[in-house]
Amino acid sequence: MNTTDTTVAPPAPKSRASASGLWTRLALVAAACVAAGFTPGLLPNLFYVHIANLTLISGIFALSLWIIYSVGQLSLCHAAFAGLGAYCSALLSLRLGVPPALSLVIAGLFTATMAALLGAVILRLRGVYFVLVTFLFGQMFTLLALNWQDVTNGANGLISIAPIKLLGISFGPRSMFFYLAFAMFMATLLFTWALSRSTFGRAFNSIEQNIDLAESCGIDTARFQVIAFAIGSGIAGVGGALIAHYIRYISPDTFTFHNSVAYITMLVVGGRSIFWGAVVGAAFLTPLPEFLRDFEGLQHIIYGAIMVLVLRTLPGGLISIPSTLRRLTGGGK
Amino acid sequence: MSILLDVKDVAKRFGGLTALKDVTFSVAEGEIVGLIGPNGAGKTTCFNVISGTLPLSDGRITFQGQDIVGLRPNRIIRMGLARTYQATSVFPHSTALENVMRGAFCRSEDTFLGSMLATRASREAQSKERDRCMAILDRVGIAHVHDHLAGALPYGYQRRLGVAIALASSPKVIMMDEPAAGLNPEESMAMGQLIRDIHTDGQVSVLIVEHDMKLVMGICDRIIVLDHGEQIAAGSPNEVRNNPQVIEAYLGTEVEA
Repeated sequence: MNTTDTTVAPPAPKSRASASGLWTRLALVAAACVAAGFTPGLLPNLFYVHIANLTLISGIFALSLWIIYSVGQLSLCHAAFAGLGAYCSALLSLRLGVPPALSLVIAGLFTATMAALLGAVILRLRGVYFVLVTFLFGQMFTLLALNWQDVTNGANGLISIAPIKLLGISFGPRSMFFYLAFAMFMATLLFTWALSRSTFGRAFNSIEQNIDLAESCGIDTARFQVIAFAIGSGIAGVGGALIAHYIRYISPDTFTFHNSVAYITMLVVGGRSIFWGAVVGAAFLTPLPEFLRDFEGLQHIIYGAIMVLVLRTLPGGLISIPSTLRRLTGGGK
Repeated sequence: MSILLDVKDVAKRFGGLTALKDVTFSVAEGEIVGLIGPNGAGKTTCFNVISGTLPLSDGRITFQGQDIVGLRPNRIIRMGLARTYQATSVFPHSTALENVMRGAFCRSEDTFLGSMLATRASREAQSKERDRCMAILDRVGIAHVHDHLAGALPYGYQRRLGVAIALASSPKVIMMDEPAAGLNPEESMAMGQLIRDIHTDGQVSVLIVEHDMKLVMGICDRIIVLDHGEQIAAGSPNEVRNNPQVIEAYLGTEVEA
């Protein structure tokens, strides 16, 4: 009574659509670059350029946090790794005179190494236990930065950090830094995209969906989690270093628990299912408080209300708007 | 007929509780071996110990002559010893085909850099892999739903998908934890047929834990009976059926097949 084997469908059509998809994406990237080229000139004043810069860096943080999230782990010490990278790069350039462009890279590698060491120990924890340990690590970082006076200059922070210079061009001025931030953001975005479609991305997503089964598929879940944590935190380290050389002043207050929460909020509000959510979340939440400045006093209340509204109506985040609209209008595909 | 999986004097203790004691059996090439016993006899624990999910307390396990004690599950699977789970275990948010391709993760010729840059070699490796995985889906009889999300598939299909995922790693031995649990008698019989098919045309040995006596008696070459973590009998279905100790363990209510 073998009835089931009779209901076999024709073989799946071979997917050849990826090639045209690639060109669409390249066109999008090119369009974004052209638009970015004009952006600093078109913005009314330097304050807006500053906001744009912060938004791009937030995008880097949110994307890198998404990479960690893509193995199903929520890191509450993302800002601590950003801070680690910032202090590393700032100290290298201040104390040892390392060119910032190089110290930026070293900071990224250093942060990734530290994350790998920490991750190897704590990534066996899942869920709330992992979240708690990362929270504690974040607090440890803040305390270390405050109390290791000889190196970090304590609560006073580090001042007059050199701006990034590359090929004789200084990326210190706000409108110049915009191009650097944009390039770094695009690099992170393209890297995350490529990573998510690579064999690593497949392994990461398998771990997120069903870690036991992933292990049973021959995926070294412990190793891939450390890799994701190191990559994500390493990118955060570079992001932190960018801030250090842009604002040119860092203190323990620059990278606190609240920043870590802010990055998580970006992920949740933007949407966690795919990395675009992180970009949308950062683009929405970073400038939002600035635009609410006119409502003095009510600013934070309105900010909170908007977040509640988004989460209440769009549990999948802002990126789920198109599919939600499609469902509401009752349309087909 | 060479021995693939060899379990010797294996014991597992959880604190003071002895879940397994002196379990000794082997699975040879081309065999279907059943592992049965009343609830709480330690069958699933036995699986978890062999697959590396739980550390064992005592004993020795070799696979193709190599010691596998202490290896992590992903290493053991890559050696050719796959398993399925008692409950349905799939990647719910991925398509059925994608699920099987993940099962083939350790067999894929695709490389990290290649897949990141979407090189020709990587795309070819992927399309080859896709064809192979479609064939596996076909073999377990659910190729027609390859593009459905696994979490949305009917229960019986999800169980088959679980088998397909395990098959994708091209195992030499596949351990199945209650493949027929929750299936109706017809589906259960079809599952038995599927296991027999996998066994004959894939040259895969099967170690199976199952409560459905009809199924076990029907497909197994040899049966091992556990009770309270101890091995109380081993032999052909007929020998086991008539073993007084086995009948006692099941309180005489079982083995009606």
